[in-house]
This record gives sequence, structure tokens and C-alpha cells, in this order.
Amino acid sequence: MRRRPWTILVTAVVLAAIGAGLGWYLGADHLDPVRGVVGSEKAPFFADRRVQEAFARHGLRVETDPRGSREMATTVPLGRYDFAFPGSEQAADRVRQARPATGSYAPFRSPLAVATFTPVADLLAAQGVARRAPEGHWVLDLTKLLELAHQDKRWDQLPGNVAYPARRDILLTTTHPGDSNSAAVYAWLALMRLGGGAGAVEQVVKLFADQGGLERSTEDPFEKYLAQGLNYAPLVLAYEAQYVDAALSGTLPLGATLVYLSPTTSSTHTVVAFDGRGGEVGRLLTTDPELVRLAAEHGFRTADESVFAPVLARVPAGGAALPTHLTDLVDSPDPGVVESLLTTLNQRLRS
Amino acid sequence: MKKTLALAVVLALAAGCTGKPEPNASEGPFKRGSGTLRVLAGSELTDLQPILEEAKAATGVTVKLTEIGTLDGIERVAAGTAGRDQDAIWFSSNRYLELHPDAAGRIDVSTKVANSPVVLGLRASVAKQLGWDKHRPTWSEIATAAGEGRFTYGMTNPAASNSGYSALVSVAAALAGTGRALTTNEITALTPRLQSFFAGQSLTAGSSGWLADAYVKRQAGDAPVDGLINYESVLLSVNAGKRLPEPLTVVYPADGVVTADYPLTLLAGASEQARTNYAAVADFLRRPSTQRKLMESTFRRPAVPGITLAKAFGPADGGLVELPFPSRYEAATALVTGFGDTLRKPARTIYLLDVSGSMKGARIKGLQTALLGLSGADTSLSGSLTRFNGREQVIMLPFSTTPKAPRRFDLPETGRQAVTGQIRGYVRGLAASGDTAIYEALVRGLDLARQLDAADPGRFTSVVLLTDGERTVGRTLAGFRSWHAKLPAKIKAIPVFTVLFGESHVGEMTQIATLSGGRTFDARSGSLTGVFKEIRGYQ
Repeated sequence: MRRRPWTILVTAVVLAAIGAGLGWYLGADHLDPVRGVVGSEKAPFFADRRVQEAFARHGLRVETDPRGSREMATTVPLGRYDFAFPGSEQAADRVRQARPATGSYAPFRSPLAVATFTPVADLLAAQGVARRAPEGHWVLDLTKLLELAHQDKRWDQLPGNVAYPARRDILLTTTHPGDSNSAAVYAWLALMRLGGGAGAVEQVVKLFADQGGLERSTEDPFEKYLAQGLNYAPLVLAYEAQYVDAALSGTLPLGATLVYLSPTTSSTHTVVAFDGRGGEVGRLLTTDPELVRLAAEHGFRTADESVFAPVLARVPAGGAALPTHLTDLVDSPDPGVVESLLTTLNQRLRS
Repeated sequence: MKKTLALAVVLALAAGCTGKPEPNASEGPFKRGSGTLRVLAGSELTDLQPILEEAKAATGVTVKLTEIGTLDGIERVAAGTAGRDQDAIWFSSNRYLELHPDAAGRIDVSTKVANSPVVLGLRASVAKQLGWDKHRPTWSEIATAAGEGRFTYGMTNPAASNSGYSALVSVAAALAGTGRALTTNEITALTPRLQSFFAGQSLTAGSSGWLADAYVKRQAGDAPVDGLINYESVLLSVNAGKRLPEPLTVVYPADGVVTADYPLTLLAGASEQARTNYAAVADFLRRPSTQRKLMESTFRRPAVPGITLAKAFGPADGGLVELPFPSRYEAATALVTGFGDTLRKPARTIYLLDVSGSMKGARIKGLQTALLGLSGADTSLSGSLTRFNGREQVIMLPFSTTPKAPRRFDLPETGRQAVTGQIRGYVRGLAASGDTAIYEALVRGLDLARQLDAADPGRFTSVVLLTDGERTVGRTLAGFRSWHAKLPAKIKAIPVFTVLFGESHVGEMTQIATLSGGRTFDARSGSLTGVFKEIRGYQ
């Protein structure tokens, strides 16, 4: 008699379990998968169960493989995917050249930024390399940073440096520009800053060659920043979205802060659909209110500012909110210039 | 609240009944696959077997690890042959592979599973003596102390194993002190200081796991080694296993380390089933609960954020610095060949070769092919990194009814061709006939080692014993044992690497290897070439 509540509970649990199992059985798990190859920075978004459920409501089960946005046009077997989702319009162009597309969608943007730590930002501020924008967020003066890199300036040569007194050159930690969009955009920004030309290209090559071995996709170095902190690197190039996502899931390392590049460019993450089902994913990401809201929650800047602004406002970075409007934006680069730069970089780095 | 608790209890009970890992509610259900995921893996990953058992229970996928040296693995991936019988690769690092000009397009998705820096472990008393229990030395200080003979250490061969290669990259990058990735033309200037660092090395191996075991065995013998350069995970595991008379103090070099990140990597062209299996296993390995278990049971650091590091991980006073890996294949390779030809303590390699009657025909031909390969005939990547090195002393000692006259070859540092040509000529002249005096040959070989070492003590001496049958004449194993026991400590510690071949007596070959601190290698089903190349990592 006294055991009765237990029995009921057990029965309830078993029934609940069966119910859940049944729901799962009837749900997303038994839909044919729509396959996408996505820039690794978007892997957490696609792995989010709420995202999977939102797609399932439209009868889609989306499976994604994370790869570098630029690898998609070189070594990724595009034939097995319904869509590709690189980190920029230029990378999308390359994908479309590699395999004809049935449609393209631009559901959200995310500017490039640098994940770092408050003491490092302060140190760079003392050097005149970082400063506060009028709105309060940190910005990194690209010209000054490139000067330090050009002089082979090391962290341990900065006066009064107790934040990171390592015998390492002052460089952004990036991915490989031949594989990954974030590094490619950074290469292009640096080239523009250095005024183009052969000498400038040499300096850009050095920004990558001096770092040593490079990861293939943007989530890899960023995840090491999250898991290892300063033990990994003091300045890690990432998309703003990655930082926002980590901030909201409580996985930022102690003392983390975000510094925007100045000038910067906003990367438009672009869905390239190869068939109707891939197109459906692009369409839903652009129009489905739930998916748009979830993209904003993962830190991406959606078309509607009122959706992402409150999310950014929840992320403290360096004592100021992240900026809803970015200033000092340069237009997206000319595809021809970018391609020739990246071809050169790839040859020089992989010789 | 109570209800939730009870529910949790029931669920826990239910999970306990099936013995299956239960997905954490917030993480969603486990991804499922079926059948086997065939993975070419570094030997140091075998300690993940218990976790892979759990992965099987959770995902339905059996992960079948096939052990291979990092370098051989890279070669197979770059040549495109790995995909014939494997779906994925799993080494401690893909950095060298990713620099390989033929690697692009050979690998698909990759998932980082853990982290472990390559550091120095020292017997606590020695660390204290050097003051490194309180102060973190730089690689430069470590190199100086090693060069002055203030401590000895074991390290794997960079041409065979990633931990040795990472150590070589660390010390070279740190000594160069540029703050940038090392370039080919910077390596030469570092030669004297690197030579001084490697002068302290008194134990080598072709794999990190074997090195740790050999180190533990040596502590109990007459010729203990003070330190061990290896993954932090290996050093902490050795300490946790209480396998040493005194624990290792883990020394984190102040100017930086190179960290392994264990990328489970799908091979290009893998089947759809393999892709599904890969995704399920990768997902399981990165669950926070798995990551925590991985950290607690193997002492590797988690790859995913949000997991508090256990107390065992250092350094207590703060930062590690990640040193740059070479950014070009040429520089990465120049470091390895430079290590062999110029930087390392040169080797003295004694080959005891059975040329009894039973070796006639295909067997002696196989042996000749293997030795010709080491003398420069094998121009593959692994061939070029396992060939006889500059400054190496190679001794060929054939035996049948009795040991024959040994033939010694001294390779110069540069311009090896004349001497390798002589070796090739000698090898081609080997002919088979007569009985098998295994132990007479061993005695003769070790006697020779003793004489040579007295005249020239600064070498790594090792013996390779190849025989295709059992002893038929001369001394027995028991006779050899009592002779071996009377040897001076240094000679007793010369490892004998025995090759199982043809009708070798497995028991006796194993005993010889164990007795001398060597290892057996099995060539009964494969080719001698592969095994002779593998042994190069231990010489």
C-alpha cells in the first residue's frame, strides 16, 4: 500500500519514456536527412536541439558536417550535400563555381572580431593598438597591429607586460586562409590596410607563415580559446557570433573580452542550395520566426535588428555592451582581388 | 522537487540495469550508427578502449583501432591507400599531415577530442636538486642542464612518434627564440645547443606508450633514467598508477609547449555508413560527460569548454605558452632529418642476422630487401626518415653454426653515399647455410658492444636479433641468461629487439627482449621491411 506512489511514479516514468521514445520515433529521427556542409562556426547552431526541432516541424531533419568555408570549393565532396553554408558571399561564389546552385539565401551576418582577455586588451590599449569606440566597445587598430607584426614585435618586448609576457610574436591566431573564410577576410582587410601591391602581399603572407601550423576551420581555434584560454593564444580571430554564443552558454574563459577589428567587414553567411530540400533549409532560416530567433540567440545578426539587438545587449564585453551598429565598415571586397590574393597565399603557404 | 529526485533515481536505476550510458537530458539523445568504424590510430590512443566500449553501448558503433606509427599513418593517408581498409584516422595531431603536399583532399571532417601538452617529467628528487620543483625552467635551461649531464631523460624518436616530434619542435622553437614559426634556414644555427640538449637523452623509443613502460622498468634496474619527455597525460597516468619508487615532478617549460589535440578525422571517400558512424562516435566523445571521464581516466585535458580542470593539471603558477609549429612541410621535415643526421646522440646499431640454411630463398631475399631499404633504396617518406643516419655506426653480424666475422660501417655526417653503397654491396652478398647458434651470436654481439662502447661511450647502442628458427647449436637461453646477468649495468641495459619470423621460438624471443629491456616485433605475417623500419624508431 505504501509503495503505491512508487509504482505510480515508475509507471509514469516508463510511460513518459515510451512517450518520448514514440515522439522521437515519429519525429525527426525518421525523416530523410537534408545534408549540409557548414562553416564550423555554425556547428553549435545546427547542433542545438531547438533548431533541430524547428526544422522537424517543417518535416526536415538537417544533418551537417563542419568544414572550412573555403575548403567547400576545393576538397569537400559537394555532390553528397543538399546545401553548403559558407561564411561569406565570396566563399559562396566559389561554391557556386564548384557546383551549380538552385538558389542562395543570406539569413544572417556576423562581423569578424578578436576574442581576447581584458588584461591583454588593456595592454594593447597602452600601446595604442586597442581603444574604446565612442559606444564603449573595444576596437583594434588594424594599422597599428600590422605595424607590430611587420616589426616582429614580441609580447615580451611590450613594457610592463604581465598579462602575457611570452616570447611570441604579436599576431592574431587565425585559421588557414586557403581553407577558411575568416582568415581569408582578415587577409583581405590586411591587404587593403597595407595599400595592396607586391610588398603588401609579402606582409600578408608573413601574418600567416609566422603563426606556424594553422587550423582548417574557425571553430577549432575558437574552441581552444574557450577550453584553454591564454594557454592557447592571447588574440584569436573569430566571428562575433561565436563569442556571443559562448557568452550566453556560460563557457567563456575567465576575463574574456571581445575586440572588434577597425576597419572591419560584415560577413554574410550564405546558404547555397543545390536542390529543393537544400533550398527549403535556406528559406526557413531566412523566414521562419523561430529559426530566425534561434540564429539570433546563437549570436548571428539577423535581418531584423529588433531580433538580435536584445541578444547582443545581454553580452557584457569589456564593461560595455556589444554594438548594435558597427562603424568603420568597409564594403565587401571585390571577388577578383580576393581570389588572386588567396591563390597567392595558398601557393606561398603550401609550397 | 521530490518527484524530480525520485525520477532521477529511477532513471539512474534504469540506466544501471542496462549498463548503457544514458544521454544527459539537456544534451539530447545519442546519435546512432551501426557496424564498425575502422580507425587507423596512434598507439597512445589504446588507453581510450574503455571509453570506446561505452561509445559502442551508446551509439551502436564498434570502433576498431588499428595501431600504426604516426609517420606510417601519414604516409598511407598522403598516398591515398589508407582509405582502402579504414574509414578514419586518429593520431595525437594532424599538424604534420596537414603540411604534407599530398594531404589536401585526403581527409574530410575532423573532430578534436582532447588536449595534452608535451612536457618533461623528472624524478622528484632530481627536480628538487635542479630547483625545478619551485622554478619553471625554460627549454634553454633544460638544454644546458642536459648537456652538462645533470640529468638524463627518455624521449621518443621524432621520426616515429608525435611526442618526440613535438618535443623537438618545442625545444627548437624556444631556442630559436624568434617568437615565430621556425624556418628551414634557422635550424642550422641551433645545432650546437640542440646537440647539447640531446646529449642528455639515454632512452629512446618508437612509441610514447612503450617509452613510458620502458622508463618504469628502468627505474627498477641498475641504470635508471632521471626524466621522461612525454605527453602530460602519460606522465600523470604513470604517477596515478603509483608505478614508480618516487613520483615524477611535471615540469612545464616556461617558454612554451606544443600541445596534441587528438583529431578524430574522417578519410575522404568514406562510405555513407562510415560517415554516420563517425558522426555518432564524434558526438559521443565530445559530450561533457564523456569529456569529464576522459579527463579523469586518461589525464588528457578536455577539448570542449565548460569542464573544470582536475587538480592534477599544472602549472600551478599560471600560464602555459603554446609554441608555434612549423608552417611549411619543408621545415617540418628538415627538423626530423636534421635530428637523425646531426642533432641526436648518434646510434650504434648491431644487427644479428640468421643466415642458417632455413633462411634460403625468399626469407633471405626479404631480409636483403629490408636492409637495402634502410641503406637508401627506399625513397618513400617513411623510407627517407628511417634510413641509416649520418654519424651512425652500423654493425652487421651474421650467424649460422657460429657467429661470423662482424662488419662495421661508420656513416659520415654528410655524404653518406659511399658508405651506404658499401652496406648495400655487403647485404647483397649474404648467403644462407648451416645451423642456428642464436645465443653464441648474442654473446658475440654484446661483447662487441662492450668493446666499442669502452672506446666510444657517447652512443645509443641497440641490438636487433633476426632468426627464423630455434637454437640448434651452442649456448642455451639459460646459459645466456647467466652470462648476461654478469654484464656491467650499461651493457646489460642495451635493448635487444627480437624479430619474430618464420618458425621463431616466440617464448625465447620474448624472454630475450624482456631480459634486455627490448621488445619483440612480429614479422611472421608481414614483411621484414615494415618491421625493420618500425625498429628504427627504437634505435
